[in-house]
Formats: sequence, structure tokens, C-alpha cells
Amino acid sequence: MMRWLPQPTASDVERTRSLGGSNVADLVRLAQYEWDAGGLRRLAAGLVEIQDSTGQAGLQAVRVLLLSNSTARHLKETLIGTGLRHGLRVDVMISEYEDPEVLLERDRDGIAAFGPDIVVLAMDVHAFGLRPAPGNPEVAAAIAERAIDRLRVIRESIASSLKKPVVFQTLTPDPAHVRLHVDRLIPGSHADLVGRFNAGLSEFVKSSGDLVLDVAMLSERIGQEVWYSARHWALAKYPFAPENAPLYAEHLVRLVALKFGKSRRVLVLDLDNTMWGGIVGDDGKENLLLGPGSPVGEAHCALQAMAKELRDRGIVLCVSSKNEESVALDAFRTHPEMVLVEEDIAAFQINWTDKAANLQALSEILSLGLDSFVFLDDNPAERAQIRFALPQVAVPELPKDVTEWIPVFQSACYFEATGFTAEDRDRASYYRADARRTAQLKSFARQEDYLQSLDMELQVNPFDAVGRKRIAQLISKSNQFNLTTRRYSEADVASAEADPRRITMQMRLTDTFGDNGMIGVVIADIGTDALEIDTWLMSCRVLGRGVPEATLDLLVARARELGKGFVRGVYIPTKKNMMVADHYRNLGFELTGKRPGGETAWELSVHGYQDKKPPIRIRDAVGAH
Amino acid sequence: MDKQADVIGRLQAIFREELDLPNLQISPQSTPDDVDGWDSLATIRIVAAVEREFDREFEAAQIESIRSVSDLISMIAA
Repeated sequence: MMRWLPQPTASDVERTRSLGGSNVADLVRLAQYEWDAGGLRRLAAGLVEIQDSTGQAGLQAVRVLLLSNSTARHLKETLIGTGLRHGLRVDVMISEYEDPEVLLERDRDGIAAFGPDIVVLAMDVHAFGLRPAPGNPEVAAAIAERAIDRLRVIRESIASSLKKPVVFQTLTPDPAHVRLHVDRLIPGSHADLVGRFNAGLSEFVKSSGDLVLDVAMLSERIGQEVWYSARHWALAKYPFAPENAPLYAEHLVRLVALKFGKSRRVLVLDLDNTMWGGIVGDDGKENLLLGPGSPVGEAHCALQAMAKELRDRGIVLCVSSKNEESVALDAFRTHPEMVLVEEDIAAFQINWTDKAANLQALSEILSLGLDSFVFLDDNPAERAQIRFALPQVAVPELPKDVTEWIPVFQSACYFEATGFTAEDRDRASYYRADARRTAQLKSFARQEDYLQSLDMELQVNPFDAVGRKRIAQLISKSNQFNLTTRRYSEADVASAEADPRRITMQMRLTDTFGDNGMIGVVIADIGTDALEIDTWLMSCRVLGRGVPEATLDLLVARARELGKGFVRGVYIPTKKNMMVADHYRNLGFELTGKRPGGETAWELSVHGYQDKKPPIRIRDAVGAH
Repeated sequence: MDKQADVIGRLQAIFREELDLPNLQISPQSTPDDVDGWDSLATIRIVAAVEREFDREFEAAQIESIRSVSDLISMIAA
């Protein structure tokens, strides 16, 4: 079913039966295999035992409230086990058989006590009826509108007590209804109603800034007849066949993980027998299988076209190959059937070192964590080595037959995102420019000379409607250079924008190599005697360029304008933001307090503060705010 | 091996697995009341495992009428 996941061996299965004494890392490694509901249940049970003894090293805790109009209890352990695959410790509260609008009122206290981080509205087609009105477009429109209104009411009810994102599900048709070819031509058929509902739902979620779990897409991928089980609906009101629970959970958990800044953004491709058929060093460029004329050559072209499509979605492409660099690059640059061109690749690692080292080098060049990497290689030994050495990298299993790769890879939906912005579209080229900057840096003896040579300009604007989506994206994704890791939704960003008691900054950096896009976000509260920094984050792509110093110059200027004597900030440690533990100290702040858990409070007096003046031109529009 | 005992043995393995009770002992007389965690959803899981193990598919009406292990045995024998 989930063919991109490796199959567990008999000994892996045995290990899930005796998980006593395992640690979290063991469980996470085991969870990478494809398990049925039973296997996921055993992993979930293993996690419970660890909770009782040694704590939760390395897992992000997430509380999920799942509201279902039918049976959902059986999903609990499946979700917990799947969470391990994504580095999450999922805690689930499930409500079944009850209209969410009723439950949300009735169990307000119970829900508040549970404290969900995200709400899943697991409503299937049975919750809405959608009884056909064949030939009747007005009635059809009204039926769909009513169903969407219901979602609106539920969303408002959730918003009234919880400021948390909601996952909405699209519907897949109820097979009980008539469905014929002619339905494409008839308004008001059941399929037409489902289509209208899904379109209305998409519009609604676009405006609410929530998430969509596209159940319609999932069921289409595997086939609606396989998705649904009439027998299980009749027996126990299962909204879909129980054997699909692991697939459903995989997609749902990945969506939840996005909200916690876990997303895949890099695709690393091998060359020989991946990018093209054959081994360039042995067979020579002219004998590679690439392009029309052979099924294998066409399949490799199709794979390149797929990679190009991902690049257009903002996925960063890299190459890692064991080859003689000059030979492999020559083939890449000059083979007439290549779909990808050199400019599509952010960075190449062509050498004879092992691929785990290559991936680590790429992670450093791009300043992107390995947990955002996907590694595509035809060689099972290479795949196994990466899985073992770097379990945080996603390594899809591939069928032996290259013509079968793409459907398997595409069905994994590795590069799920919360939206799509202009920033996403251009991201791949930013990273390529980054890699070239890295090369330029190496040619300069002194850091200052290098920074001067970049001719940088920082544009600073208050939050605005245009930047809103990208600001929310940075807030939900930035983990490393993030002082407080407070996560805000698009709606929160909009309210910060309008709040006269807050200063907001969105920052873009351009340089001689191009536009880096939006790279920094600051939210500060105007206090009685100080600016209190609530959020300060920066994209790691621009580390070491003087942006924090320029930002502090701006903050101090703003504090002075407002007649405040201080700038204050806190550092809240997480597993991923160690790099900014000394951020405030390095900028000259005084330590004013420590809390248990490692949280530190810092203060800077603006009297006598000397501007740091890094080599960056500043275009500041915040002052006009 | 006695066929009935063989079926019971295989059923016992399924019950142990699906109910996470590694030491569970069942007999034809066992009912949901005697076995921890054997509720209606567990029946669905157990039946799915029985269908895989014995390569059979049962009807909803049969599954719905399961009241004891011996009901399962008769379904498998039918």
C-alpha cells in the first residue's frame, strides 16, 4: 500500500513484540518501515512504556483532537505509532458519533483540559448526506452551500475557545449513490454535490488559513473501491476500510508535523541509473539510456521532468553521485536529452566519499537540516546506508523497474506544504545563489571583504497583507535561528499587523547574487519602558551576514523614537535552536534572569548604545508604521 | 494434529496478538465477558486477522452474531 516505505523483516517484526528496554531512537528507527495497524499499535505501546520511565528525548509532543461523525477510536494507536515515523509523540483525544458542533459545546471543559495543538475535523460524506437532486442546479448549489455553512459554524465554535489550526477533510463520494458516466453532464448528481462541496471547502480553507487533508485524493490514489468497505460501514460505521488506517494516519500526521515546522524541502538525486540509465564512467556519455527510443531512457527523462516540476514548487534539487566529477558533469551539461540543466541544481557532490558525508555537506552548504532531505537512489545498498546513518533523511524504496518509480515516489507526497507563495516558487534559485556565495566566500581571505563584496541591501517593512502568508510560513517553519519558537497562524499574523501596541518587521535581503527573499521576522511589544521582543527569527540561509546586527540597530532606533530606555528579549531553548543560545549576549545584552528549563531573559539599555553598522544598506519602512 | 485443537491454537495466537495479551488462554467457551478488551471493535480486528490467517471472508451478519470463540470456530469450519 505505502510502497515508498521499506518492508520490515521478520526480525523487525519480532523486535516490535518485545520492545522492553528500547529507547526513543530505536522506536523511531523501527517506525520507518511500513507497518499495519497491529505493528503501529505495538510501537505505540512501546512508547507508552518509555513515557513512564525515561522521558521523551528527541520527540516533539503534539496533542491532536480528532472529531469524527462515525467510528474513529481504532485510529488512536495508529496515529501514535505513525507519529514516531515523523519524530512526534502524538497524544490523541477522539470524539465519535457526535456532531462536532454539539460536542464542542458539551465538552468545552474536557477539550480545554486536554489542550489540543491542532483539531482534525474527520467528517466523511455520511456527515453531510448530500442527497442527489438530479437536474436541479439551484438545489445542488444550496445543498453544497449548507454543508459549507456547517463547517463555518464548527470553525467559529472552535475559534471561540481554541486559537489552534484545524485540519478539514475533503469528501470522497458515498458509493451507495447512483454514479454514471452521464453524471458529468447532470447538475445535482451525488458526484456533482461532492465536487461542489470540495471546491467550497477549498475556498473556505484558503481564507481561514487552515489545512486540508485531501481524502478525495487519497481515495483516488488507491481507488475508491479499495478505500471504502461497505461491510465495515455496516458493521461498525468505519468511514473507510480499516486496512487503510495506516495510510490515512501517515498523511494526517505529515500535515500535523508541518504545523510544527517539519517539512521536506530538498531532493537529492543520484546520477548513474537514477538521472540516466547506465554508468557514465563505464559506458560513456554516448551510450547512456536517456530520452526517446527505449522505455528505460524515457523513464529517466520522466524522472527528470518530475524533479523539474518539484523545483518549480520550490523544492531544492541537489546531486550526490560516486563518479569522476569532470566526466559526470560533462554528461550532465552536454547530453542532448537532459531535461534538467545545471541551473536547476543548487549544489553538486560528485566524488568517491560515502553518501552520508555528501548529504551532511549539502546540509551545511544549504543551511537546511537533514530532516528536510529526501534521497533518491537506485542502489539498495546506498539507501540502506543512508537509512542507517541518517535516519532523519527520507529514503524512498523504489521498485526494481525504473518505469515504475514515479507513481511510488509521487504517492509518498513527501513535499507536502501549507500553501504556495511567490517565495516558494523562487526558493530553488535562492539556494543556488547561496551555494555560489559559499564558493565566493572561499575566495576571500577576510570575512569583511566578502561581506562588502556582496553589496547587501536589507528592506524592512511592517507586516502587510502581501507578506502575511510567507510570514506565517517562516513563523511555523523556522527552528534554528528562532529565539522563542512561538508559532502563529496567518490570522495571528494579521492581528499583530493591526495591533498598535506591537512593532512588526518583515525583512528581505538582496545582494549581488540576487534576491534572498524574506529572511527575517520580528514582533516586539511596546512596553512601558522597553521594547519587549516576542519573536525574532531569521532564515539560516543568511547566517553570518550581519543581519542580526542591522536588526538590532533598527530596534534600538525604534525604542529611542518611542522614548523607551530598553530593549528586552528572552531565549526559550528547544532541541533545535541551540545556535542562538548566546544571541543576546553576543549582541551586548545583559542577562537579567534564568528560569528552570533553560529559559533566559536579556536586557539592553539604549543609552550609549553604539550602532553596529554591518555592511548592509537599510531601506526601512517600519518607521513609517 | 487434531483439527479442532489446531484451529483453537491458531485462534489463540490471533487473540493474543490483537488484544495484546501474550499469556491469554482461550477455549471454545470464552466470550467477550471473560476476555479483557474483547469489545465490538476488537471483534472486527480479530475477524480481520482470522480472515487473513484462514484465507476466508465472512459476512457482516455472521460477524455481528459472534458471541463466543466457538461461534468463530463454526464459522471457520463452515
